[in-house]
Amino acid sequence: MNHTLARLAWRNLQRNLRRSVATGMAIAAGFTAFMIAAGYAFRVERVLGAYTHYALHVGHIGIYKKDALEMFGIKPQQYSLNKDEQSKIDAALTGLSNVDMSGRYLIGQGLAGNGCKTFPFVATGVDLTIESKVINHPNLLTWNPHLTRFRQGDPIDSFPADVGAIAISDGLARLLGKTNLHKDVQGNKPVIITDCASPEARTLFASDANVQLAAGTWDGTLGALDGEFVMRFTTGLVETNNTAITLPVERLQSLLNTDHVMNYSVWLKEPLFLYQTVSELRARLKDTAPEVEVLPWTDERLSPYYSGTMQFIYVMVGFIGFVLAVVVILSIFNSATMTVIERSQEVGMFRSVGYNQKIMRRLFILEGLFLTIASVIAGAILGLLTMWIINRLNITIYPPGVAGGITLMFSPNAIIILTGATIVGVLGMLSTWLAVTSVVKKNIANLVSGATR
Amino acid sequence: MTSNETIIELTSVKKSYRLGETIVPALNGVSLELKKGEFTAVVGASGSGKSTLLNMVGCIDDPDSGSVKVDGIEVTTLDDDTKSDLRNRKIGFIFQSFNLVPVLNVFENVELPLIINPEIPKADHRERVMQALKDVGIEHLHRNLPDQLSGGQRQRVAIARALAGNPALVLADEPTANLDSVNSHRIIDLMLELNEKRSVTFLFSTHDEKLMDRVSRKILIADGVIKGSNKK
Repeated sequence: MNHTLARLAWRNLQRNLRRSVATGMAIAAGFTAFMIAAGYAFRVERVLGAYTHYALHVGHIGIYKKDALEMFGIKPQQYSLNKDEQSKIDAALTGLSNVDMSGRYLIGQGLAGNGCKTFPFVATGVDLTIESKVINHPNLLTWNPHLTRFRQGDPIDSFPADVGAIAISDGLARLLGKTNLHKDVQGNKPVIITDCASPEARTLFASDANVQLAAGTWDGTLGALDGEFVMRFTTGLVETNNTAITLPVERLQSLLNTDHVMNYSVWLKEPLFLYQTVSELRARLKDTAPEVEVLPWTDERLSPYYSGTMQFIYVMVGFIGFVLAVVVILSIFNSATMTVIERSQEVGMFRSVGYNQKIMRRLFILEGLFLTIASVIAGAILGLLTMWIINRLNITIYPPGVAGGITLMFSPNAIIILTGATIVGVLGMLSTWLAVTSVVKKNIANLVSGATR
Repeated sequence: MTSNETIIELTSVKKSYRLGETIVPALNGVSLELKKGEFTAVVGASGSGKSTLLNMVGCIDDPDSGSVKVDGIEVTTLDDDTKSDLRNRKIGFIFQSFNLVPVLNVFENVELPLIINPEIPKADHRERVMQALKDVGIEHLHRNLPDQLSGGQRQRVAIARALAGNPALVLADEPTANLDSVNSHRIIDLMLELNEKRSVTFLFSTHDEKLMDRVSRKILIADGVIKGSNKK
C-alpha cells in the first residue's frame, strides 16, 4: 500500500505543476539562505574558536584566582596565582587523561621604546615549553591561515634565554620603526641615537632588533629589560595589533618583579568532554586550592570576543532559520490547503471505497514530504554552489575591529545541513497535517458531492 | 438471481440537513429491505431524498435516528475505521462524475480498493483487476489515463473499480446522468449483465424514465418518504 501511496503522492505533485514549483522554489530559496548563513556561522565559529584557543592562548579551560578576570588589572598581586597555588594546580593537572597540554600565562602592561620614542604595550608572558605547539596547532593553521601568513621570523622558544627573545605585533613594530628582525640584523648591537629628530633616526631604529621594555613592578618600583625582536605577528584585531608583545613568562615575571602568574590555560585532547574535565579539575582543586576557579573557555568572561560575535551570528542564523520555518509552514500549508480543497471530491471517493482518515492524511503528508525533500535538495545544491563560487572568488571583507580584513569564506557542514533538512521536512509534514486533517474528517457524502468546497 | 437473504435493512431512518436557519428533512422515517441479487432503482424528483438514501446505505453519512444494517451489521454504531473497512469489503460505489484519479491509469484506478483490503493478497490484484476490466469490456485500455477515455469508458472503469473487490452491494448515484442515451443504455445493460453474472446487488438512483423500465425493482421516493416499491 505504501508503495502505491508514494507513487500516487509523487504523481499528484505534478497535477498542478506551477503551484508545486512555486512552493518548492520558496522553500528552496529559504533553505539556500539558511545554508549560506549556517555555512558562514560554522566558519566563523571555527575561526574564532581556534583563534581563542590558540592565538589568544585561552585554551579550553582557564584556571584563575577567584574573580581575577574582573580584578587582576586593578590588584594583580592579590588576584594572581602564587607559587604554592601553581604547585597545587600542577599536581591537579597531573594524570588527567583528557589534558593534552597546559601552560602558565601572565599579562603585563608597560612602555616599549626604541631609544627615542615609547609606546604602550600589553605583554603576554607565555610558557615556552608549549608555545610552538600552541601557535602552530593544526586547528589554528587550518582555520586562521591569515594569522600565520603575517608571521615572520623565528618563534621565541627557538632562542637561548640570554638572547631575550620577544615577539612584537606588526602594528607596534611599525610604530617603533623596527622593520628588521633579529635574524636580519644579527650581531648588530643596540645603536645609541643621539638626535631623534634627524632624518637618519628612522634608519637607525631599523638597524638593530633591540626594544626596551619598562613597566611598573607589582611592588611599586620601575622594572626594565631589553628585548630582542625575533618574530613579527598579527593579532588579527585592530584593538590589540598596535600594542601586543609576546615573551617568555619568566621574563615578564622578571619585568614585573613577581613569581606569580595570572592563569593556567589547559588544552584538551577531546574538547567534547570539556565540562566533564572542568568538573574533574574543580573536584581536584576544591580542597587544595579553594581560592582558585576553573572556567570552561565558553565562559563569556574568558572569551568575550568569541561569545559576543557568536551570539550575534547565532541570532542572525536563528532569525534566518525562523524566516525559513515560517516560509515552509505557510507555503506548504497554503499549497496543501488549496490541493485538498480542489480534490475534495477525490478525497470523498477514496473515503467511499474504504480509505480511512489515517491513510488519507498519510497520502497528503507524503505529497508535502516529497515537495519538501525535492525543494531542500534543490536549495542544498544551490547553497553549495553559491558557497563554492564565493569561496573561489577570494573576496576580502573588512569587519569592524579586524586588522587587515578577512577572506569571506563559507564552510558547509553536513550535520547542520542534515539537521536543517530534517527540521524543514518535519515542518513540511506538520503543515500538511494541519491543512488536511480537517478536510479528511468531513462528511464523506458532502465530499463526494463537492458540497464542502 | 434474487435470494432470500437480506443485504440491506433500513428501519425508520430519519435525516435532516441544516441550511442556514432552516432545517430541511431529507429522509423522514424510511424503512427498506433489499435482498441479495436485487437490481433496484430509486427514483424520485430532485431533492426527494434519493442520494441521502444511498448515502445511508453506503455508510458515507449517518442518520439522525433509525437503524441501518448492511449484511446484518448495524452500522450506525460503528467507528470511522470500522465503517471504512466495511465499505471497502462489502460495498462498491459508482459516481455520477466517475471520480477517477487523473494521475493513475485505468489499471491503477481499479486497483485502488484492493490496495487497502487485507483479505486480498497483492499477488491476486492483477488477476482481479484484469477480470473486472474484462467484465466491463475495456481490458485493452488498462494502461490508459482517464483523460484518454470517453465518458462511457470512464464510467466502465468506475464500474470495474466498484466490482474489483467482489462487493456484496454496488451503489450507483445517477450513474448515467453524465452520459448520452446510447452510453446510458450500454451502462445499464452492463450493470444488468453483471448483476446476473456475478449476482451482485445493485442499488442506484436515477431520473431517467427509460432506464426505470429495465430494473427488477423500482422504489419511488418523495419528500423523504418511500411512496411505493414495484417489483417486476
